[in-house]
Amino acid sequence: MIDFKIPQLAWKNLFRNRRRTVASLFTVAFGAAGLLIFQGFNEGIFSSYRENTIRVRYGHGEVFTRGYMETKVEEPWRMWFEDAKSVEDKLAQVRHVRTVFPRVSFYAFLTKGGISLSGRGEGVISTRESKFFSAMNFVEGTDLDRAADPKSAVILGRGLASSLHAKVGDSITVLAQTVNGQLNGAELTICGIFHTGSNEFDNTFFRTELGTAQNLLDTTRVERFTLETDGVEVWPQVDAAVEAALPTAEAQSFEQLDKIYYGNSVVFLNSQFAIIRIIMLLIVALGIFNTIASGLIERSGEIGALRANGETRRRVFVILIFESAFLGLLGGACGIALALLIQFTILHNGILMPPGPGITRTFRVFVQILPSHYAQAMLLPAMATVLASLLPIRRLVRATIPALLRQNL
Amino acid sequence: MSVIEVKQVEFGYGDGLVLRGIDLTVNAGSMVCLVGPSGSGKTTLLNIMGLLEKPLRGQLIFSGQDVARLSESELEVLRLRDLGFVFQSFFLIPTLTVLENTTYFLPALGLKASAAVERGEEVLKQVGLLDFRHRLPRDLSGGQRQRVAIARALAKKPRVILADEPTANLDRETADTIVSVFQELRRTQNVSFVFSTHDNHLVSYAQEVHSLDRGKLA
Repeated sequence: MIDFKIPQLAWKNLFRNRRRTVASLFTVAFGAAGLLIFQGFNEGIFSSYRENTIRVRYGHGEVFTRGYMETKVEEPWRMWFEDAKSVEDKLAQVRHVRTVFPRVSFYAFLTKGGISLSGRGEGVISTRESKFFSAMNFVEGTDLDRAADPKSAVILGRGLASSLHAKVGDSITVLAQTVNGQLNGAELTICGIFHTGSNEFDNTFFRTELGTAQNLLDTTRVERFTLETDGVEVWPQVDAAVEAALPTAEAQSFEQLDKIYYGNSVVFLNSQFAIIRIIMLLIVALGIFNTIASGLIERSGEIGALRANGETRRRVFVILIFESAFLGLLGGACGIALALLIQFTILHNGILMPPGPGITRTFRVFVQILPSHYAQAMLLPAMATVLASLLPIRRLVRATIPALLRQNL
Repeated sequence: MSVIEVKQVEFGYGDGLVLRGIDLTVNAGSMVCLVGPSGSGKTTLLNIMGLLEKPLRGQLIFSGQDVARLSESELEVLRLRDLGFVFQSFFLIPTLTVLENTTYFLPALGLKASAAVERGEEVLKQVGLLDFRHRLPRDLSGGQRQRVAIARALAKKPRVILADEPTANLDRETADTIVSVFQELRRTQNVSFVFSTHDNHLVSYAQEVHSLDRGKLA
């Protein structure tokens, strides 16, 4: 049977020594606020990484012929989509898909003057791509769609342009092997130089119009379809719908495609956060342990008197656990309020972060607190508080009544 | 009719004995006083009679039951139902009102909220604190707090009230009020009182006075 008096009594007991309660609340609240801000900051970094990955390269995901990504073949173009238009139309019909971007990728030699370099090219429909892939960051010139003649234009990564000593308006020769094994070339004019922040990408990448790339490769096939969807959260539905509509195709999310950069970053930051979370909760628990223990010892006479008059050990235990839980929950609530205050004042403009590993540009992180974070900020400090109080409560409950009355624990 | 029978009880901590060969009977409606110097064993004997300690040797019969045969939970029930304890330091719950302190144990005895309030108010009237029922202990004098502690013990309608130095922290006038409450309850409700004291004035009210010296009854 639930004794509804217990929570009521525990709540009242919480305020028996206001100064001590406030001190404990501060400890728990700072812990909860720290957890929340740190988790929100991590989420901000994830979000920034995610946006960069989605809006530079992979969209929300891509569709290939089944097995294409896993199979190593001499002539990969044989696994490209032959009936590209029909596939594109089917994909455009899939629920939650907003835009379909057909693409081909290829390796080529880029020559300017006496310098020749290998690079990784991508043929895209620039009029579609430029609207969604907004994180290309043109340091010079424009995207393909704004070039005077998009079909004979090329955009280069900053590192690649620098290695070729090329600038906007220069002509470069792009040499690639056709699907028939012959060498084919095109004279293209540089209309823009971009930097995405990723060294590996910016040092090797260039883009042309899809038609230009297909002419260079002498094919009408499409390697893959990149998708813009209603958001990252609908990907599982899109994935399922694509599999159903195109049994010979398979879809992969941006997280799968960019495992090294985004996927590993998420795992790394989550692992780091898990360790810091444990440390913070330990600090909270240790911080309030003494306060709770001394508060309980002060009450030993009172508890002894209650037990002498028939109060049970079990009920005393439950009352004290409720008190600790209330302290933790109240501290968590205060921590949430404190975190929100910090988020909307001191951190209102975000935090400017230095470039991460393999990244060349700084980025601004905004603290992004999700609903699940609030639940954690309430529950975890409450659990830490209850755990911190278990030992002194156990000691108090196990003591004999005469020992409690002598206040000699 | 005896409520508590102490037979050849011995008790001690470690090697030393605090109580030796104690024989004592508390009858229903009696007022028994334990006197003796500090360290003579008065509080220990009260603890044994109040089922807080078990004798090392000898026998304690409470309401006809041999206490040695009772489990901890059975002792808890006896303490709740048949015993009331009052202490020198009152030990009230500071966050509860006078009425809430008084009725604290009544739900465990099966009383519904309205019945508990009714009984609490009745007992507070007996100890002269009905008008203070909504106050917190911090707003009361020492004597008033002790009366609340007595009211809390009385509200359970116990057979015996044990009090350890109940008037030690009180002035003479307040102590007299407390004793008169004890006398009244003893007469009207047949409640037994056992208390330890150094106060000769309080001793004069007792029907039986037992003097303890170095763990033995004189």
